Amino acid sequence: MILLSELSKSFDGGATCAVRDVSLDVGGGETLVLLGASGCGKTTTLKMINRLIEPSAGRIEVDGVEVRERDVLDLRRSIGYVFQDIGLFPHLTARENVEIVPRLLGWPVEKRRERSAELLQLVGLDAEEHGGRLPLHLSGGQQQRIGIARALAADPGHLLMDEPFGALDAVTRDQLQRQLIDLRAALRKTIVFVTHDLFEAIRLADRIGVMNGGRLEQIGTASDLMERPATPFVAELFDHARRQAALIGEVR
Amino acid sequence: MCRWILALVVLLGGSPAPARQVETIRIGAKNFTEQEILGELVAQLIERGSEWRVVRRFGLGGTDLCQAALLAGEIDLYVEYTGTGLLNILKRDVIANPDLAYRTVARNYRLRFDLEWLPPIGFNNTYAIAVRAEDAAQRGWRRLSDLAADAAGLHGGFTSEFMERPDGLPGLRVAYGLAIGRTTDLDPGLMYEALNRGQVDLICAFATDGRLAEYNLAVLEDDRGFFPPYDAAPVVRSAVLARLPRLREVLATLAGTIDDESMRRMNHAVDVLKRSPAEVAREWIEDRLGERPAREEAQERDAGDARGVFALAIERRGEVARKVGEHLVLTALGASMAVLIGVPLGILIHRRDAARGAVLAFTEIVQTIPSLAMLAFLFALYGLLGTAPAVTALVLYALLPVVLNTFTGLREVPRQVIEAADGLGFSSRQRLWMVELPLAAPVIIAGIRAATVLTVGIATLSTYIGAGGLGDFIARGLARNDSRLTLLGAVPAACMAVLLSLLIRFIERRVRRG
Ligand SMILES: Nc1ncnc2c1ncn2[C@@H]1O[C@H](COP(=O)(O)OP(=O)(O)OP(=O)(O)O)[C@@H](O)[C@H]1O
Ligand SMILES: [Mg+2]
Repeated sequence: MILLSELSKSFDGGATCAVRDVSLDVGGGETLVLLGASGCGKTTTLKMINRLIEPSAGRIEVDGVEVRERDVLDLRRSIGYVFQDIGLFPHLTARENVEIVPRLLGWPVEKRRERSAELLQLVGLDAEEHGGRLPLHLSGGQQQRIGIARALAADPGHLLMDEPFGALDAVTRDQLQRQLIDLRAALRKTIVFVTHDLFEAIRLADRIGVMNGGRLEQIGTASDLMERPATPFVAELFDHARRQAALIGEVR
Repeated sequence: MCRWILALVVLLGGSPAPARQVETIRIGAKNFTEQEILGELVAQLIERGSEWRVVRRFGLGGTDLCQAALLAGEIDLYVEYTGTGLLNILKRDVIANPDLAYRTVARNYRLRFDLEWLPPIGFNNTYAIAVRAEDAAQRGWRRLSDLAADAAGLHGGFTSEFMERPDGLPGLRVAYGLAIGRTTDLDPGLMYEALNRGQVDLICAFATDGRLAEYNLAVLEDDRGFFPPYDAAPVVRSAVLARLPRLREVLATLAGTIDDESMRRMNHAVDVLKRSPAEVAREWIEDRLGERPAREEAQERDAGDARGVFALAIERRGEVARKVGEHLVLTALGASMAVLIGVPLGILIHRRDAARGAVLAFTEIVQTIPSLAMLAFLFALYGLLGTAPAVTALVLYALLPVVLNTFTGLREVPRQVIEAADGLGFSSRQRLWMVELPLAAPVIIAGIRAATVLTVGIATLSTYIGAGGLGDFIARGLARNDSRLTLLGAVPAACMAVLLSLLIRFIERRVRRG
């Protein structure tokens, strides 16, 4: 369970306001998708949850405890994080990258090995073929999958995923989305998922939070948003998507 | 096993049967030929005349260093010249009368420094103006006052020291009314050759220099007694004489026994005939004690000249190996301590912006200090000769590449990798050891390589504070104008630099490959 209340973040001594007054809650096992255009404050919000960025104002609770009252390392190790720019360790192999958090937690080697093999398989990579490679020798999509496997490695109850399928082609993206849906069904995790793609949001979300200029415009299920848009921005978002979908219809 | 226990007991101070301690006498010498011969004479006389252990600390870089070493008890005695003691150490004016000069230095040294001047050895290594013998004959120069009339048309070649000393050119100009037309600053090793080749017309020779005998040069008589006396005599710590009174007797053999001509011949044997100071000193002692029939000089010359660098290297391989070993130890100590200090400093300035400016400025300023000045300063600071100040100097010089590369390597670790480490819950120590240092390693190791090569080079200067190494050969070669000796030090040093660089490059590649 993750709860944000009146969360704000400004940079440069107040000159830039990245996040303004955001309040929301994500229930246990729920997937919340934060949706919004580039620069609207999605990444900043995620980073505040695991304390990579300190909020300027407001509260964040994870499982009912204010994050600033928890040991920061414990907190971070208990939350899986998939970074927008992946950030694999270039000097470690794919397998070693996946095993890194268990290593920090002091798991024995065999248990780590077993876990990484399992996870590589889960994200659709071959432990034999890809496990021993350095990130440099993996494709962009393969790197993103390693990033996801790394976030899952210590079996955290919470998952923060920042555009994990960002730079992928539609086919691979579709495949990974499907894997994530399966995975979620199997693992029951609380997930905050960031994207700027409405279709991805609709597909993955239990609820969607639409962000614009640092504010949370509206939060609700996809049908709530579509049928009862609270702001012109949300309405326009769906209109735009509809026009795109119509475009595909015309081709036929 | 037994021996180990015994050693331990001795170390802990509870020696069961204390071995009789052998007295040790440490003998110093400055870094030129005559000093080394004199050092050998003293050393060998003590070795023959007593059971004391002799330690040679030759090649010290200058009068001030020798004096400081005596005062610090780092050496027990060395041979000094009355004029030098008077002008350089006591900062007195010139005293023309040799006896008076000797008595003045002896009294002042005893009172001020607790150092004793033993009786003079006999020769007076003062300045002397030398010209080509054929010029002297043609133009009728015999005495310095004969020069005055021709001075305006002459070209003098003088050491930089002579140009400025009151008992050098400035005084000479006044005493003889000598207005020399043109002067050039020359290295002492090159003056004689320049005069011989006609590039200059007169030089400030040293009265006992062996090269006066080699080239056909004439020394002009100092008819107005201008040049102060530079009578050589051993200077000893009074404490040592009090503890070992027999030392006075052992060294009595030297008193008044070597005249200018004999000293010149011995210098010649080393500088020109390329014989070793130890050998020349031994022959003098054997002659003196009537142990040895006179040898043929001509034979020695042949033997001396025929030896090339390789022959010399083979003949002295034991010594070369020992110097290589010393050099490696200096380099290894210097470089490894620079790493132990420099890498943490680099990490510090990467994490703390506040410390960065000061640390980088310090390491950069250190680089601009001339090596000899640095050595002299560190010697003064430690009050010790040898490895400690030498290694400190090496560490200071090697610091910059290590600190800078550590800092640069860490700064170049990609931002998103650092963020990933933080986000996954690495502690800052784990982030440093598991992410930042491994990624910065190639750059850090490149810095260590630069530091090591630098250290091999600078370690050749350690000779000037008696820390040994290949610099001993180089300095002796330079002092004697003997390129074979210089090469004997320079070539192994260059090889060492190249090999160490290759070795570290190899490690670097292994690290890069992961
Ligand atoms: N460290 C920082 N200093 C100053 N401004 C920042 C900083 N980090 C983010 N910002 C600003 O805050 C705003 C929100 O940034 P954020 O990274 O959260 O956007 P985002 O929604 O993740 O965008 P994208 O979809 O492009 O990743 C942007 O205007 C950005 O320029
Ligand atoms: Mg972002």
